Amino acid sequence: MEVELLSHGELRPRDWVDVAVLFADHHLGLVRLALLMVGDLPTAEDVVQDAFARTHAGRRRLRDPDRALAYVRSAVLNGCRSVLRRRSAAFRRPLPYEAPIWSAESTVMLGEDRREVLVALSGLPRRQREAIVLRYYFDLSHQEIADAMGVGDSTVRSAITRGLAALGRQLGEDT
Amino acid sequence: MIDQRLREALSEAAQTAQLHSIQPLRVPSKRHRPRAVLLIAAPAAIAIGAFVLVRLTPPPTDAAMGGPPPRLSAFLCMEDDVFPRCKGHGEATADDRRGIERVLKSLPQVASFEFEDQEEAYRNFLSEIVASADTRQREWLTSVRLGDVPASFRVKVKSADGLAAVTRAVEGLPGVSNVVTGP
Repeated sequence: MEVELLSHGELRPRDWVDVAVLFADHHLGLVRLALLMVGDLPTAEDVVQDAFARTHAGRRRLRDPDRALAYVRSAVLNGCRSVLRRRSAAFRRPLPYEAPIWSAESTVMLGEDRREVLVALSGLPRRQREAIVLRYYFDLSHQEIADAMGVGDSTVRSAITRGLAALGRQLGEDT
Repeated sequence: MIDQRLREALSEAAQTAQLHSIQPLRVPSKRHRPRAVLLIAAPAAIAIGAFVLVRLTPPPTDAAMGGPPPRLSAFLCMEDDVFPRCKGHGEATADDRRGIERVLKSLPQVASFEFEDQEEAYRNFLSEIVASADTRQREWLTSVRLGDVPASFRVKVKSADGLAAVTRAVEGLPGVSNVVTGP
């Protein structure tokens, strides 16, 4: 990966986590997470870059290696939430952005059924959408999802259950 | 099954982002925080620099000011002179000349002075002004005769600041037609 990491000469206590390395290792996954959230690749890349820049600046404060990945994921999720909130703010000038990959205007060609599923997914409430993407694309455990989203374990379970039920209704399936 | 369709849709959408097609992460450039050392060092350096500059700068001399020492010329009245100061006075007398010399000697701003009589003035006129004129002007200038060029005191002033004071002191004296600053 052509990203400049921390210089090797930099002294770091053993327990501390290098967020820059973590970002580099998970770059593609994080961009995909953002892509599934915001819908277009340029914005997704920007979200990840911004989250990387912010955590890079404060990397010395991150000391718990077990929580590091969750921290990075929630940084990206937060960025996505900000983007979506900005886009939906009715009184602001609409921000120019590319059509989501699941819309008919997108240059990305997806199968009709895929598109249908993704459109339905994008219509779900934020918490359900996030939980479902983390569960069904990244195959995270409920606990990992809870960590990344900053909510409780049971909230994740109920969000997934409700989200799936809503999708099933919209897509004409009996679950 | 809904979860199978979900997995496939998410996977296909995610596949549109490939590692080779996304921009690599850029390490943010370091924020520049003004450090305490710099906050103290920068004004100190400026102060020292200014002090050294002031101390090392030689006092302004004529050479440093980039030009010849300031001069002025006090022209004397001639017979039937057109200058208003000379009206009814006639040609400047030897007494007038001595009076002007006395004043010039008494002025602290004056570095030196010399008297240029009419003959000398005419020679200078021929050599400096007529020689540098073009042919048409020369034709006209050669009509100037010896008695047409006034005598004058050529005064060197110590500094340009003193020019005005010397001019004021000299221009009212009897026998002086006008005072011109410059070489």
